[in-house]
Amino acid sequence: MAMLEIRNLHARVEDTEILRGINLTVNAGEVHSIMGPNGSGKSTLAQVLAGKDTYEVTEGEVLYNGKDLLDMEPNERACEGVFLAFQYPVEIPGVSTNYFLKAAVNAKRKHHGQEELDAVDFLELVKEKAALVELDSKLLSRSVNEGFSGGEKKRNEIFQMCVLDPTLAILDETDSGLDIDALKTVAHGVNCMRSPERAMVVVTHYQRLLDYIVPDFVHVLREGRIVKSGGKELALELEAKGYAWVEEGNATPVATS
Amino acid sequence: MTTTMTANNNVESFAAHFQRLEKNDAFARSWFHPVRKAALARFVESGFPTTKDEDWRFTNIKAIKSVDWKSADGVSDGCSAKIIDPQLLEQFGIGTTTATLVFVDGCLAPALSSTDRLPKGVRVERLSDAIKNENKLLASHLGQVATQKDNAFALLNTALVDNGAFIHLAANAVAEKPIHLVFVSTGDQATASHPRTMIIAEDNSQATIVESYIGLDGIGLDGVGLEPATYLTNAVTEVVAGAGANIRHHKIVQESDDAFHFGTLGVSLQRDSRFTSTNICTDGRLTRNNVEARLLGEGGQCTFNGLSMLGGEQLVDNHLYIEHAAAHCESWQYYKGIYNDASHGVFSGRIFVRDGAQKTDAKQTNMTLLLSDRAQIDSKPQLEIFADDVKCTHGATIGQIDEEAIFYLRARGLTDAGARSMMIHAFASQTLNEITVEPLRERLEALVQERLPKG
Ligand SMILES: Nc1ncnc2c1ncn2[C@@H]1O[C@H](COP(=O)(O)OP(=O)(O)OP(=O)(O)O)[C@@H](O)[C@H]1O
Ligand SMILES: [Mg+2]
Repeated sequence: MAMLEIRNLHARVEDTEILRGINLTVNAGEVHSIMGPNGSGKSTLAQVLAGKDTYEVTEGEVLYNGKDLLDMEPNERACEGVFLAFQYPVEIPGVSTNYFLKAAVNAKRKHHGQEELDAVDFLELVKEKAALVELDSKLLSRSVNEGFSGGEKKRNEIFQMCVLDPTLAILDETDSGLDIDALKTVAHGVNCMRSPERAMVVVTHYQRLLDYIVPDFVHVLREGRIVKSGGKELALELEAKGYAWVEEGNATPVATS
Repeated sequence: MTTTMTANNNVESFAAHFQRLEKNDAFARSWFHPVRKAALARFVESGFPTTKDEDWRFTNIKAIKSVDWKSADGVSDGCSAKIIDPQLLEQFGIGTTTATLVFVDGCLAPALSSTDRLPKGVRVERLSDAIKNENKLLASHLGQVATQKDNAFALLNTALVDNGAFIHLAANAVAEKPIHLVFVSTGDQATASHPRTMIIAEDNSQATIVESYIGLDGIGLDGVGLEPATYLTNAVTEVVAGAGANIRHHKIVQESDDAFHFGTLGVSLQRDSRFTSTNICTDGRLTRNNVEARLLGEGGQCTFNGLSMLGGEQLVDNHLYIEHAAAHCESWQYYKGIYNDASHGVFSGRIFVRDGAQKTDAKQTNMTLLLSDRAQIDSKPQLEIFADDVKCTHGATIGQIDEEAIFYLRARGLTDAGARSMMIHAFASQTLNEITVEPLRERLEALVQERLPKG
């Protein structure tokens, strides 16, 4: 059984159809990259998978480990192991990362019938993961993302991913706004998470991230559909030829493995 | 009888009550009697305000005008307080104090009060005793701080003051533990009480003073709440902060769901003095908190924090006037409101900087969280500046909970209610943390927690 099975997914906002029949299969252990021009629907796909109700799913289905993902509340999805690193992480005044993350970790543990982590164990976990992505731990006791630099926000997302230890991680443009050193650190954090039990969907504009997080599959999204799929070479080809290349008739709708 | 007569009736019944009190010799011969009488005359002349008065534009007090208020019987020496279970006190977050005065329906309850641990230079007594004993210091300040014209409620309070406290801190006196004044209303129908507190803090003295106004409905023992009661609390507190004095003040308004609370806090600050006040309002049908503070000497600092958390059809009106009359003073107003259901908040903050009050630093913030479509806030900042070298800022934010933030938290595993609770709590906790009396802070924290979305 595939970990994630997206079949003919259509989603809209009000009268605008944004996703127009997405098919994608992701197996445990795989890293998939989704590329595509601005406005092609990458973030919409990511947010629909995380459960954002701004988008109305009009057709299709999504199975996650065989269960109907679309039928779950966002928090249920998170507790079941779905993680979304936001393209635009939200600021939360007055709530520190440490504070809400402890609640999040324990919500997940409770969901799985495990005991709550106590303050000491939690702090230990946090310290280890913050070091992994070189996130200044002082930031963790400040309001979430408030006054964080672009790079700090993205590190914070990856840091949270490492702490929450998801089964399916969806990273939405985690590379944008990072300088090369930060990019390497973030990629290191992501690579540490690669494992046969875990899958990742990495949304990006740029091939450069894929030098560090090498994907097993690359998909090109255009106008709400996957128009081309291939191996990691596809990213390089796209980089060389530009998105116009897929728009010039090289598009071949693909159903992946 | 005409309808106009009906509207005036209740002003007249307050006047009639005053005349009955005057029949008592002790009352009529007191040095304070002429002060009362003058205040009553002005009250009768002005009557209660209406929404046509700019200062009352958003707060309609029509509902109090039609009630025939019975007066609380705190004036007479013989009044004896209704017995309430001392265990209830624990719920008021009193903890260890320098002194505690508990008034039940206007009467001092000696069994619940204690003034036997007063350090040197600190005096806490019943206001009526200080008036009776012709305390000179009291006489020279009472009514001299809360002086804003046309404050009908303060005038009525002066005329009918029936209970309250006189707190005197001699120069350099320090009260390490808080002084707690508790005004409990047990729910006697249609009682009006007029508590008055006078705080005189001489040079370099320090104290923390808590005023709690509490209706017993909903907080009865064993969770057995009493029925909401209609009563009126009309309180005035005056504070004189001498040079270098440092006073912390907390006012808790947790009146009955059907009660009206009108409170005036007047503060005068001398050179280098500090006054920090935190006002928490969690219950009451209609609450008006007037603040008038005057910075009279250089280097004075005053802070007014507020947190209102209401639901149902409750209303709170926070009405502040801060006057900078001397140079190099700082004033801050941080008011937050969380309004659910059809509750209504009003905030009006006026900063008045006199000619010559150079280097004034005055800041005002009003932040509102509306948790329902029917909840409402009216926020009105006013700056009047007659000095040229000053820094005055004001800002207001009004909003619903940020749904993007809720989604972010939910996408991390928190339930919808959990995410909402976390954000509301974060909004409130900054102000709660200003409460320096730990048992009180814990009690209020628990009260806020109790009201957060569950699930
Ligand atoms: N909440 C919304 N309301 C209205 N339109 C929306 C909404 N969300 C997305 N859209 C529209 O849907 C389209 C796809 O947006 P989406 O953010 O998914 O694109 P993207 O591929 O992530 O783009 P980018 O590369 O710029 O991040 C765009 O035209 C966008 O304007
Ligand atoms: Mg996007």
